[in-house]
Amino acid sequence: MAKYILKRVLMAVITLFIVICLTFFLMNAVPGSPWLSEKTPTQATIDALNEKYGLDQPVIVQLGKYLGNMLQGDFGDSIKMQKDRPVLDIITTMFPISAKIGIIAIVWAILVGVPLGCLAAYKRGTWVDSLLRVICTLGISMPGFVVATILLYLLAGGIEGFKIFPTIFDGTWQSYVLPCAALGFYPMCYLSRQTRTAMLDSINQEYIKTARAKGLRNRKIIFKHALRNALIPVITYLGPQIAFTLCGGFVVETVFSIPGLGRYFVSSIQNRDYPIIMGTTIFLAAFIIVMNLVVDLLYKLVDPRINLSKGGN
Amino acid sequence: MEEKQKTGKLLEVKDLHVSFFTPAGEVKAVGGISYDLDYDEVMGIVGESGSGKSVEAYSIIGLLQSPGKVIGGSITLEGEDVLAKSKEEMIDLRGNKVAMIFQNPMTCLNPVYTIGNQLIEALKAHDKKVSKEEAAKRAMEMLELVGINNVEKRMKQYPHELSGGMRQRVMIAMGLICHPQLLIADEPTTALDVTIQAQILELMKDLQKKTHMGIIFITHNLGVVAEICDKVSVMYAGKMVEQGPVDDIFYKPGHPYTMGLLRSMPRVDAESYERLIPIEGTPVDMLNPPEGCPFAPRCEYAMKICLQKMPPYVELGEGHRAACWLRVQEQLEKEKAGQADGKPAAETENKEAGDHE
Amino acid sequence: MAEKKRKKVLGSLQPDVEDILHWNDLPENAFEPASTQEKESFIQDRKSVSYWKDAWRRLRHNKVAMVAMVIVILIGIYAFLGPYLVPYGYDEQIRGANNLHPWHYSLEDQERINAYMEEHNNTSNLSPEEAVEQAIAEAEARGEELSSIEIAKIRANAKTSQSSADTEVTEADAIKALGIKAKPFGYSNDELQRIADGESVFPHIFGCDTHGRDIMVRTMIGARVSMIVGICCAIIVLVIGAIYGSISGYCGGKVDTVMQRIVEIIYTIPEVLIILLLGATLKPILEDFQNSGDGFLQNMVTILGSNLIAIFIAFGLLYWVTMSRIIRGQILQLKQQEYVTAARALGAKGGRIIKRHLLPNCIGQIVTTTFLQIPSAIFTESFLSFLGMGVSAPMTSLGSMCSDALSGLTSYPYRLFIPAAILSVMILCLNLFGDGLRDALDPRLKK
Repeated sequence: MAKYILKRVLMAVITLFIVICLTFFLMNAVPGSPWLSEKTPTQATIDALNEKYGLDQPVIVQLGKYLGNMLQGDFGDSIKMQKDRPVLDIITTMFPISAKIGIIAIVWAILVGVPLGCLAAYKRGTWVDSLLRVICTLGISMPGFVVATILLYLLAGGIEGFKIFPTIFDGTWQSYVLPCAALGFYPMCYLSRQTRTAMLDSINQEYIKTARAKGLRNRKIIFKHALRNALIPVITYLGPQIAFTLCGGFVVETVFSIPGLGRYFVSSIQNRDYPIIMGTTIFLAAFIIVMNLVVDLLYKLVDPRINLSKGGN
Repeated sequence: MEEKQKTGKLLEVKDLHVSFFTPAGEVKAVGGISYDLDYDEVMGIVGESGSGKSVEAYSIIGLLQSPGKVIGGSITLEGEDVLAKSKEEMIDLRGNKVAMIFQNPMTCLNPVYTIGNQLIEALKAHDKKVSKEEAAKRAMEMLELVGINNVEKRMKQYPHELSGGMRQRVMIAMGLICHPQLLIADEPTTALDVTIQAQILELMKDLQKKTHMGIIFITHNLGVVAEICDKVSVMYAGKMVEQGPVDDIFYKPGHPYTMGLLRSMPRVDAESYERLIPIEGTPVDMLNPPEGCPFAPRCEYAMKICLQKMPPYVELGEGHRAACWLRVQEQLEKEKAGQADGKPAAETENKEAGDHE
Repeated sequence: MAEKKRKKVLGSLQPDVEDILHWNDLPENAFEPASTQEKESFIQDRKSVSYWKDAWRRLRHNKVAMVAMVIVILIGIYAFLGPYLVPYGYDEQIRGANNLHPWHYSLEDQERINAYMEEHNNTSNLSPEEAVEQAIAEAEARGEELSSIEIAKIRANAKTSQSSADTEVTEADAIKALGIKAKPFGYSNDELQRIADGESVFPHIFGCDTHGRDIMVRTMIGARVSMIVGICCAIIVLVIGAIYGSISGYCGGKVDTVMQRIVEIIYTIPEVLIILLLGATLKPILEDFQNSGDGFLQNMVTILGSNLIAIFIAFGLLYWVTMSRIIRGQILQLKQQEYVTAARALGAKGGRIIKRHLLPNCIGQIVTTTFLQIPSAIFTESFLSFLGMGVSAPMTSLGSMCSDALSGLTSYPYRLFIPAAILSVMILCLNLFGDGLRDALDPRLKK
């Protein structure tokens, strides 16, 4: 077990390192300096700025320095959007909002999607199954901004005299409803589809035949024998879905004008504020990688077949 | 044992028809088979893959999955019509009166629950009042009965921690935990190593002697049949082509298919130059079953009539009958000879009686 | 007794009682041996169908998939032929057609509406500025000049009358009161005049955007971009994934271990972040490259635009892992089978074995996975476009159209919902067809 965890953690660290390097070198490959778009600074000013931000040193040195700083929690300072404000500070103020929305979204997606998938599998071949299949296929076919704008239009003032939720995000619980609904819709549909497939897969296994031959009731067969086995693969889909939800937040935050990290990240890209782009990318990547690691270990814990002491698959 | 005193047949199957309604058309998986089974009797059902032997067994226990459907005939278990039972009654029947064990012990146990959990569950399904401790005790007794040692530890283990033979023993224990009258064993030894196979067969023979239950033993291995069965039914393409006591089948086979099966079976006492003779050809397409005898295309003795009509059963001895035109021809010749002698044989009388009806 | 019992048993066992009844009616030659030929013709073999024919048959029976396919084809026609049929360019700004609705009122109706509004709203019902302007114009006509005090008065008047909304009659009220029905399709007043003059004018079926660009043409071009992106990405994924997966699966051993580690690492890299990053950084890099010369590559970059290239690169770098895993799995499975051993024994080389023996056997899964990359790529592209990181203007895509329309959502919802609907329907149908394809090509997976 310890060996396996160690191996996975090591892999995660390598992945993160690759992401950091990729980010760093891409940033460095960008021609021109970020100062050019400002009112034509003099060469002296540029040099001064370069020196100040360490941009005059060789790339490798810069990378090493950056990594070193990062380990101390220093992601650099914003150079444009909120000049000289530390990136980490920006992230820590903005991420909680994004995280809150993301967590609510993924939780409702799991709580609704998995039972719906079970229901569809349990009622397979009936109209319930067909209806759920249509909804869920539609759900995974609609990009996040479509869902978000439809909700915004229908429930937040698009139709005259029909405004249930506020258009502007103000931190009240009502203003959380639509963003969370929009953000969780895709994972909900995705999980529901995957649960259905996994359930049907499980129902077709031979141990279900054994359970039936034992004279167990249908409900017990479905919810004890099939579900437990079906949930194990479903857990593996959670990792990518968490990543997806986090990135889907960019769109949802844009549509609903939520002052979260996602929207800020997008505008930092448009404004070419490199320290913010780098800091946010690395932060979010690290978050996603850690979540994947957690889900992966969770998966191994839930499935008794996998003997962790032997080192995984 | 009380079961021993019971009179009448344990199981009677009459003219059972089972079809699968697939998009491509109706597949007659079982086309009219009949047999009966006494208490304390072991019957083997032999046939190649797809001959309908498992389908037939599943319909007894009500495990037929859609699109499969029993479309004719009757199944009577201890005088009760199984096909007329409601879903609820079938659930009560399964695992209680009739138990079934399957081919592949690797996949038949739920991988995410412990052995103990699955055994106790089988018991609790039919005996709601039994306490946890009592159930665990009985489960452990059962495991000991099927020859598993260190039962306390085994109860807490997951299926993947046991070997194949061990798992099949667990399956058997699970089947027997409610003391069923009838055990259906669907190729229980096929997936096991030969040495383990022998152990499992030995165990089943043993248990049968102890419990006096009836066993239907489905297999494609005639060797296994010789080992354990009292009588044998040979199935081909959904039809029962021959049926009889195990000795008759082995020493006086009446159907060319049975003969083929016997010839293709390795024997210890065979001369070194004797070769195994496979049965040529492949089974018929069950989607468009032909008019005549389904085995005719692969039969070296096939006659014109074989391709036109399904042969009737011919009695070859006490409880031994076969459906083959060859045997009919023999009977007819005997009849002619008997008429010439003026001493009609019993069989011929019977035929004539049928003729005049 | 024994006799009777046997008869009963026999009767119940007989499959065909009639056969016995007509015992003596058997044909003369009944017991002659049958010839081999007769035996062969006896089995009514089902026609053996080829894999593709069989798959096509299954697919054809899947109604949902067939409907989805038809819709995809229709969208394809719409996207690729449509722009030639509509006489407007996607970046052509039509004068006087700004903010055109997808419906119009005929010139007469418009006059009636105006007249009605004028009748019911006195002039002071105009907005303050308009009222002032009007007053100034009137004064000028009289040859006078208004003092600033007078202007302020007029403005105040207009304001008060405007705020008393009860008396105000809007255009919508006028239309309702007059019972005028909107006619479908958008025409600018200019165009209506030209129609009145006898010219035939192609309508703006979906209306026009703020810059007076025809929305229909723009959705056509957008759908075309989406489809091209989808197909290109699918091909990139297929090529890289297939090569990587088959090498990894076929070589096995240490090579496989190392290659799988790389796959595992790529698997955990958050793709969307990397695509955004690439989009952000590649743009200036590529612009630099574009200006560096006039070679073939530079022209390609100009045609595609930097963001599209970023998407392709991202797909080429990251999205092939699933494909490579599938192919590797298939190959590992197939590698065990005898015919590969046989081919090896006959001295076939590795590449040949992959090409001739292994790939044809996993073609079903490859086709399905490749096909399902198309909707997934379109999905990602629209996401990026919506965030302003898609194709560069004036080229458009469905995602960027939605993004542009977001600010005017309440007044012009159709500007967002038309491209959104086309996009969603396209992805939905591609998904449905892909599902159907999977069921048809890989019957083992069908539940």
